[in-house]
Amino acid sequence: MKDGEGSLGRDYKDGDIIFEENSIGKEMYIILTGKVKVIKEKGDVETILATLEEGDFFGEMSLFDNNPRSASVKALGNVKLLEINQKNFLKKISRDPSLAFRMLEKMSQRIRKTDEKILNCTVEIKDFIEDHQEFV
Amino acid sequence: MKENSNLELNDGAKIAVLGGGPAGSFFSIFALKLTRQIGKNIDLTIYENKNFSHDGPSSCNMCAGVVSESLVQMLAIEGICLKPPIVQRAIDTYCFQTIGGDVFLNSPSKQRGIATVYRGGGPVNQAASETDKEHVFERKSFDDFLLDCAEKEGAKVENVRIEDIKLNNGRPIIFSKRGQLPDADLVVGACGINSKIIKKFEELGTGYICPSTIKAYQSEIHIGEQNVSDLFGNVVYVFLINQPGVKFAAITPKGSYVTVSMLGKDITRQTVMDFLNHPEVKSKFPDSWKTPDAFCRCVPKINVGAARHPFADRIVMIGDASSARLYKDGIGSAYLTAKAAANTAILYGVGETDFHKYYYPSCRKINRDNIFGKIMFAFTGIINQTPILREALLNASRYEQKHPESGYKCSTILWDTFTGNEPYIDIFLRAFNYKLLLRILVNIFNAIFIRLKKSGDKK
Ligand SMILES: Cc1cc2nc3c(=O)[nH]c(=O)nc-3n(C[C@H](O)[C@H](O)[C@H](O)COP(=O)(O)OP(=O)(O)OC[C@H]3O[C@@H](n4cnc5c(N)ncnc54)[C@H](O)[C@@H]3O)c2cc1C
Repeated sequence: MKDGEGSLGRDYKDGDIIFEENSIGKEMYIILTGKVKVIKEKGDVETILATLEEGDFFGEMSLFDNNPRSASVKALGNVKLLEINQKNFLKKISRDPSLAFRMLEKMSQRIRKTDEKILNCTVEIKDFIEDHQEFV
Repeated sequence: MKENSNLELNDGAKIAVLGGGPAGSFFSIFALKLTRQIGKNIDLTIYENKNFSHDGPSSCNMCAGVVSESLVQMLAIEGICLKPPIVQRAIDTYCFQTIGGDVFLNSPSKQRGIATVYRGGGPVNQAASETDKEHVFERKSFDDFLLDCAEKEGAKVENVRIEDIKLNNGRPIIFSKRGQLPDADLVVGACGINSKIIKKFEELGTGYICPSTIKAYQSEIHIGEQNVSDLFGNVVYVFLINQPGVKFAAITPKGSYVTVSMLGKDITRQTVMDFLNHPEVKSKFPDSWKTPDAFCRCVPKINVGAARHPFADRIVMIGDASSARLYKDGIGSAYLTAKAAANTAILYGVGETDFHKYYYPSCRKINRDNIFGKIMFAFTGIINQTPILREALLNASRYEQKHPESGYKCSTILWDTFTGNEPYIDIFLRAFNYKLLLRILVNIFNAIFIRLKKSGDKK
């Protein structure tokens, strides 16, 4: 079988940009195979916010709030992605609201992780300030 | 309908799912996920008599194996991602072949969004084993994959045929050849329409009447992996060629085979041979290719009318045994009905009134939509038999494919009708768009004009 004939979705190669921060997008993506990294770039510095794997989804935030993308996403190695556009997605959810259960579960997990990270950072900053009280 | 007492599933409740096709597996996956989500436990067993890893019709749930784009996406959102070797080919184009020409329609989503799969282990390889030295194309049954997903969620799977179902003090009890099976608080009828057990559900006297069906004909033709790639690629061919007795025929590429599906009245092996030898069909196959004498084939039933009263206290019928979309996306209907039944059983209860209130609306939605489906297919029949209309529709669609800026109005209607991607009512309403009607009208005048000109030239 020729390459790609048996694979659903679209193919991306290592380093391909799937979307860029602040771009306007009306699609969400589900990873069928491979990995992607979610990044923020400031100047030449790239900070990896998360690495997502098979079965994970991304780009869903813009579907709900219509705002520009909050981060960039790049392919890590060869990736196959299924793209779902906003209109189709909302139609599906309106027909079967329970379709959103898994997304809500994943989004809740992401919020928990972010909360944890923020808490850890806050504690570290607090400790740092306490340790360097005299300089402050 | 009687007002029943609170029939809720308690922690540790037992569920017997009768049939491990898509409906049975989907029900199990969603019921188990949901119970875990609400911090409960259920003991769920799927009884399935087939072994989907074997080749041939007796281990297969006999269908064309096209998983609609809409279902591929919903499953992916649910975390069930379809990949090779379950996916035998990813489809992004449909070709509509009529006796007046053809039109290739590309997927509006511009991606390979439709999957073709085998429902069993694959075709019995009669022709290939003798003549073809190529390696056996790697494949895994879609139904087996879904059963695996259900097992991962915690379902037990027993390779048992259920022989009978009875009611004892309002509780359903099921029997295999060896005798009565453990009591269940809920029996889920996911047995499809091709097995005798469905009649046993009717005999319970709960008001259930199984859906009306017609027979369809399926054949798996081996042409070799390279030929499938070169000649069919990522395209499903739909044939509207006015063959007597044939309502609809399609060729679906998979691995090293193509699946020929035919719907109509009294379709026999000869009808299939006539179809394969029809010039429009033959031209799709390799020049040197001869129709094989032996190929894997089956004559399954297809659901064409809704079941009546597909629920009772502690019993719910889902998938084909309940309601399915007319001619299309039966697996998608199995998903919808299974999910609605699972949500009802876990979140509300397993009484007749619970199923009537929370489950039956999903069936009713499919049943009502099928009324529009019937109209759409009747229209297609009329168009197919009226050369001027057929030409106008083909030309309008060809024009749209060449000029995307004009909008895919006609193409998306054809696409959605034949891929089962959208509810029929949505397609029906879209068909009344004045711009679309104008486009077709212009093409009708064009077709009439060309005919008049041709006859004038002849005179
Ligand atoms: C020719 C044809 C082509 C089709 N093409 C497509 C298509 O391309 N795409 C699509 O989406 N749909 C298609 N369909 C429809 C699709 O096949 C069905 O809608 C779908 O399989 C329904 O799923 P189900 O689980 O309800 O039933 P089934 O798939 O029939 O599964 C029922 C299961 O129950 C088991 N079972 C039955 N009785 C017993 C028993 N007594 N004990 C234990 N187990 C039992 C069976 O072995 C089987 O595994 C097609 C149908 C036909 C006839």
